[in-house]
Amino acid sequence: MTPRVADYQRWVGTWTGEGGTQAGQKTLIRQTFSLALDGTGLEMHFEAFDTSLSVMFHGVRSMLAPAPSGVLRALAYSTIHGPLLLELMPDDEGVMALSGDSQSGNRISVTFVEEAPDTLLFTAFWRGPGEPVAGDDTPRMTCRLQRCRPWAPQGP
Amino acid sequence: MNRMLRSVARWAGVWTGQASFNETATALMRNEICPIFEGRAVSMDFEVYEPAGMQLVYGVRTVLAPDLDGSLKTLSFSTRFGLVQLEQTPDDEDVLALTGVTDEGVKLTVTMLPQDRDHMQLSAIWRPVGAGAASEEVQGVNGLLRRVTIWKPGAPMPDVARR
Amino acid sequence: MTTPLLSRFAHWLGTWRGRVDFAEGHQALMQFTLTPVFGGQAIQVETVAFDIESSRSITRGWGYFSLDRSGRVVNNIYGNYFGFAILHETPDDPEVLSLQGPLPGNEVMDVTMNVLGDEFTLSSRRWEGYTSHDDRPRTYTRMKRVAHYVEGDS
Repeated sequence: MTPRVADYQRWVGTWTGEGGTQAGQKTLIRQTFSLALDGTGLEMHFEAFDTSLSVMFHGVRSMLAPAPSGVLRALAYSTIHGPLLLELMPDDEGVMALSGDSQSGNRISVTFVEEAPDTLLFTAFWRGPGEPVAGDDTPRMTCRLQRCRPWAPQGP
Repeated sequence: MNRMLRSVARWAGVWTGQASFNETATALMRNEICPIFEGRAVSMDFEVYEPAGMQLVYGVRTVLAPDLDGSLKTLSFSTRFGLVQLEQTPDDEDVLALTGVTDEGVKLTVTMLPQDRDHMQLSAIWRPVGAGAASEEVQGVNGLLRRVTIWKPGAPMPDVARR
Repeated sequence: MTTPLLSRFAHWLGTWRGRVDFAEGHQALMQFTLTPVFGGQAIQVETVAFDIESSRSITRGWGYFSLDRSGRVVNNIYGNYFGFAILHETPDDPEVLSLQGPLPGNEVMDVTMNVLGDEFTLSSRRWEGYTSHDDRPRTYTRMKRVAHYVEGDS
């Protein structure tokens, strides 16, 4: 089944969580998804901060949209990797797996897995040119993102 | 363009920082400011998070724009108070001070005080109408926002906790 | 907010609108919005062209301007009618931004942009990648400034 932007429409909103960077630091992550380009594109905005929100380790703005062939790709700008074009890799429903090479030749992989209606498991890693293909033990940035649900006045 | 609105538009970008919530709890703040409507208004998306796990404690989406008489007003949606309209109140030059009363009779006061190009003190205080400023019913968020610093590859990593 | 990218392109930021004459012969109303992101490390570009008769959007685009290590502009772009591409700056006059890069299907796209006062002109062309030149018509866009990014700042 060819994925469509509409398959990810239910992710629209703000997601946050605490995770770890590929280098092993704790990180706080904020991810938003919103429809764009008259509903034909999905705008994705990723921010990873240190635990006091004082330094942004990594920021990515991207747009998932259909090529004229109907295949989805993502256009992105990363504060670490610069301009990117990422391919949407075939995967199961509820998974967005993106992969591509940066202008410096680094291989970037980003995956969102919908574990539950309000939970996304985010993983990402990059490796330099010539470095071995990632295995299960390759360090990754990981975070379990929860859909932002505001604390309610009658809540805790 | 309204002079104050022009000043606020120059704050465009993402601001983050630590805050005290109700003077006891520590919280994290993120405020994204963006000129909209072809420069005729400014949007502010203000979020307060609990530091552990990034649970959203308080979120406000605001449009700041001049009314027909030129005075600045906001139309906001707050996760605590619902729809709120605030009006600019006199303050020092370059300070954005806003106040209003919710349908539930809560008086809200928001102050954004730029300290330099990259730092801004922000306070959002609320209390029931009639309660004094020193009342125990006063609640709010107060902290210093900094224009977000982006780590660059090759620069030393900030001193942060390991997992 | 000063970065090498913004030092060169701050006066381009904002919203622009005007007529586009497509290479295929039809006309439309084009709008460009350029916004700095990540403190000016990149400029996000959003484009839309409206059919004048029906008011429907006929093209939509998105992209980012950034600088490579040598200070040349890299523009990764998406257009619903041509797909995805990474364009690199090619030599031109200092006030002109010329970019070129491959498109899927053995095509090449070149784009030339210039901002003079409150006028933004853009022309682009797609041609077969294996020929050295091609006399296909260009798409021309001439837009007027609708809004500064921050009025009075640029």
